[in-house]
Amino acid sequence: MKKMVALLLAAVMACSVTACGSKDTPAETDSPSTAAPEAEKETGSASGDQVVITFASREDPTGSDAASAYQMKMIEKFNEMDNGIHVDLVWNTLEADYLDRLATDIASGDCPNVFLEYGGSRVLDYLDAGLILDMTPYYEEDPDWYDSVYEAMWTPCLFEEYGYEGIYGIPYDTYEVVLVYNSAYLEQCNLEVPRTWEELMHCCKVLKENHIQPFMVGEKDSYRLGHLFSNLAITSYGEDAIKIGNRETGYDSEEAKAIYQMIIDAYEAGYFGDNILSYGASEERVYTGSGECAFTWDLTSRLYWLEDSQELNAGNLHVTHFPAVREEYYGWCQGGASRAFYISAQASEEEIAASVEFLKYYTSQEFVAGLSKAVNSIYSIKVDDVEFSSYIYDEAVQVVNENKGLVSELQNYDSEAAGLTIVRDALQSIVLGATAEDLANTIVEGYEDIE
Amino acid sequence: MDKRAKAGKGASYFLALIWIAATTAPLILAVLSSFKDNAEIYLHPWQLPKSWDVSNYIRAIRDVGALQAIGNTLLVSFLTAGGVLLVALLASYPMSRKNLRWVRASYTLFVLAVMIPIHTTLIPISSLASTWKAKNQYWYLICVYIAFNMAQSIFLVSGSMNGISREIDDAAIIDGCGDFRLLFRILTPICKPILATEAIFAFVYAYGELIFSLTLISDSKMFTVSRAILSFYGDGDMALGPIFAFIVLSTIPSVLVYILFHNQIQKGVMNGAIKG
Amino acid sequence: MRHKLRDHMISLLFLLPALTLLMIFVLYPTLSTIKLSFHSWKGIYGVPQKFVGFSNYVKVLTSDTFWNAMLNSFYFMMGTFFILMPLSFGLALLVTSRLRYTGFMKTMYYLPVMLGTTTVALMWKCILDPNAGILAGILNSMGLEEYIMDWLNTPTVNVWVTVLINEWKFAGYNMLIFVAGITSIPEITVEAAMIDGCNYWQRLRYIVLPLCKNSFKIFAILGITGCLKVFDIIWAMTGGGPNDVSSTPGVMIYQFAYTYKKYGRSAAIAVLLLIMGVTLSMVCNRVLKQENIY
Repeated sequence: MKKMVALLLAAVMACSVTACGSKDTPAETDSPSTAAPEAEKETGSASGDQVVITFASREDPTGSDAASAYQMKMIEKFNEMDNGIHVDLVWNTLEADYLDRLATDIASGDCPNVFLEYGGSRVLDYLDAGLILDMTPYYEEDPDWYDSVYEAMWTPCLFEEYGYEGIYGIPYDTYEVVLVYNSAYLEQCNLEVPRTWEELMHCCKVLKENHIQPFMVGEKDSYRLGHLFSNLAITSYGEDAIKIGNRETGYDSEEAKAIYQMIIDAYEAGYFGDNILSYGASEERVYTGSGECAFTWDLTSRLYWLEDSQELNAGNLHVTHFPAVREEYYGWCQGGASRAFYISAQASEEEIAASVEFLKYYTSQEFVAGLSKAVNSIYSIKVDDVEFSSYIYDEAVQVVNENKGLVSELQNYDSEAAGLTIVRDALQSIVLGATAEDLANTIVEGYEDIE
Repeated sequence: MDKRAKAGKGASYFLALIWIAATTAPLILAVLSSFKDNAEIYLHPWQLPKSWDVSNYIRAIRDVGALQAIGNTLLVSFLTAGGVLLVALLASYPMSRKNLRWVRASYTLFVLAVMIPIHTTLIPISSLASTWKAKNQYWYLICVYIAFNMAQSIFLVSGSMNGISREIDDAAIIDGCGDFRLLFRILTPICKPILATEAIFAFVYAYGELIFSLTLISDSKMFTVSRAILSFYGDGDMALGPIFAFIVLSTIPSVLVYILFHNQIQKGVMNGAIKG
Repeated sequence: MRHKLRDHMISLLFLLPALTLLMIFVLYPTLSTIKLSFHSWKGIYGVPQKFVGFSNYVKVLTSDTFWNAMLNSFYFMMGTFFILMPLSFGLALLVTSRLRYTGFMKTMYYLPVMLGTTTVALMWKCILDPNAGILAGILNSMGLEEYIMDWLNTPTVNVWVTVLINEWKFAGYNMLIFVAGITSIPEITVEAAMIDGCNYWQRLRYIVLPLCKNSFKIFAILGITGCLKVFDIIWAMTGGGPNDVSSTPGVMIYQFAYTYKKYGRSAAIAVLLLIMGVTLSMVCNRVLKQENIY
């Protein structure tokens, strides 16, 4: 009895102590410090000295990987500068967690000052609500800043076809979908590196006859076939593929069905692997790296997962253009700026000014060049030649430089934010035996369901 | 007669053993995997690790602050458990002892609390948090946890209280006990088993809760276990080894607390409702 | 009269903490959700919600996906009452019996609850992997390869697999609820029955079960509400897929809000669940009312 009362009293006391401050827990480890929380208490109208802005991105706030660690270090440097700005981090690594948190914050009036998003229809919704800052005046004032970005990468920040004339953010990450192949297996079967989809299918057939598994698609992550769909459409129809994305050409059109059929044929022939819904992209990468399969298609920004893998160390893995369905579209692929950063317009003038200054720092040559080297990645912002840690990144840069046409993932052109989920989910039913006709119906009905 | 009893006992032990195997298998998997790297985990999940490499544990502790996260989680969980018990005891008293109409009606409200799907509460709760500047504050998170556990605990505690004879009440009142005394000095000790049970429930809930933690806390120094572990779920990539190491580390305190609490349940077994 | 007033005041005082928390964290969101269900909203603060009357409800009740989701919830309920209930009650009997090592058993049985949904999902996915998982391995070694399938991605099969995993996970939890009920039965009553010549099964049927009615009531209410709003385990195991076949109303609430940005529709589903849940719970409350033995 007495013990219980004592426990409860202690609990109540501890409660009141915790209510006073949120950082009473002693730091038991040397975890890299985030933006110091003490500053958060001092800000607001009370201190008036520092403007506090929140920065939301898909990085790890404990700094456990190269990109996060680098960024945290650089942002700490920014916080220590005498510019009257303090940046608080609202970071989440996983896409689902990040987007959920962002959605909750935006819905409850707590929109982060600077945040990561992917362009497309969600951002269009924000734009309709007046949430996004038009950065055109800032680019006009500082043309060098505007010029530091590759021209082709501005897509996620432009919404002209919807009646918005300005430039609404700055692109950051960029990617292209490329084909990764294992040269040892190709040589073993006397195969040339495929340039077209037909040649690729031929390679697959020969490989399978020689008991080498062509692909092992990790379709538990539904974006695998989602990306394949976009790439097949883009290398079949070039820019007209966008019409499938914005549903001018329906998902039940002959053009779309032709693409479904290509995927179905390859799957039924066993080129993609067995039980592909039971594992995801991580496993697929492990399999490619350890030589369990000969091919994969992936993003240039994900090539780091090949590091330390058996096949890369043996020098067998290489990168080339995605095999085009039509020869005339060889060199085209899905790609572009993947992540972009936007500034909230629903904030005070000081916060907006601070956000712009921070974003300038975040996209500066110094910042991006260091990040590029730290993670072996290419960004939308031009930097001088970076030294990469493996030959495969140089190959990737070459493929990127030879690119003839870049189109974003098709559903990004759809004004319905759920389009991506609908199409990707439908593609998974190929594993359940759906025909091209079934797919067409599933997708069309999916859209109707959420009208 | 003897043979049947023995066979019955044997069968019971056998079934008990099967279920023990069923429940410990995943933990064994976690322990084995915590010494391996991704490739080994995918390709040889059930074999003994090639080498008892503790680098995953080091990564968990050093890179994502596993120890600090565990410390944070213990704090939050204990406070939640204490808070839930307090609120439940207080609320169960009128529900069990005072036969007032409006008190019985409030039972329905608590059913509502048990039924409400969590995602529908996220935005209003987050919105309140930003109005009250309560993000990154443990007290708000704990209040939320208590709110979502108290309904169930009120059911349990009031149910247990209902089973206590009114004679005890009468005897206490004759002795001059007021309501507070009656509740805390007399009824509460009798309810110890159920209180310990509920404390375990609340503790484990707070220990593993993720959604509210994600929404309300973004300061990495304040992360709880379930939140900190996400650091290993990279972009489309999962570092399984460190994840399992983290899981093993965080399960240990949880199990210890459980053992501590369920001893209370054992002790309370002999305290039937009739007290001498 | 004065006595009565004092009772009211004390009751109010004692209920105050619970009611306050209830009002802030349960009632306010509920009212907000009910209002939202009659509007259309994309989830951006400051953008006014558009009134649409009952159209959200109509769209939900006429959608195939919703009824499929309700069916999956129903499978969960069947699992709860036909598998989980006997299992956890059996475990409770086991750990309150005179066998040895019951303390150890109790800890081990509760382990799945302590591990958390994410961990449990991770482990079971490893076990159920049709290519490299242990279940596939066992079936292979027994020569039963044709029974290996992608359990987590085959329609209906994946829901039942998740149901079983759910029962496995919560067996220990509900075991504790029943243990609390069983241990509150006075020893004297049990001993009296033994003296009267009752054997184990008779004791079980005439003494233990009736006196545990309250535990069953709590189990039923928590079980029904839990099954209706189930989200965590099915999201972690199957993500509601493939292509929504294993979706549940809880998953739909999440998807309509966070994926499709149709908060009004999400709220309508939630309100429907609330009505169903509260109704069924009140029925349980009536039906399973425990007569006190005093």
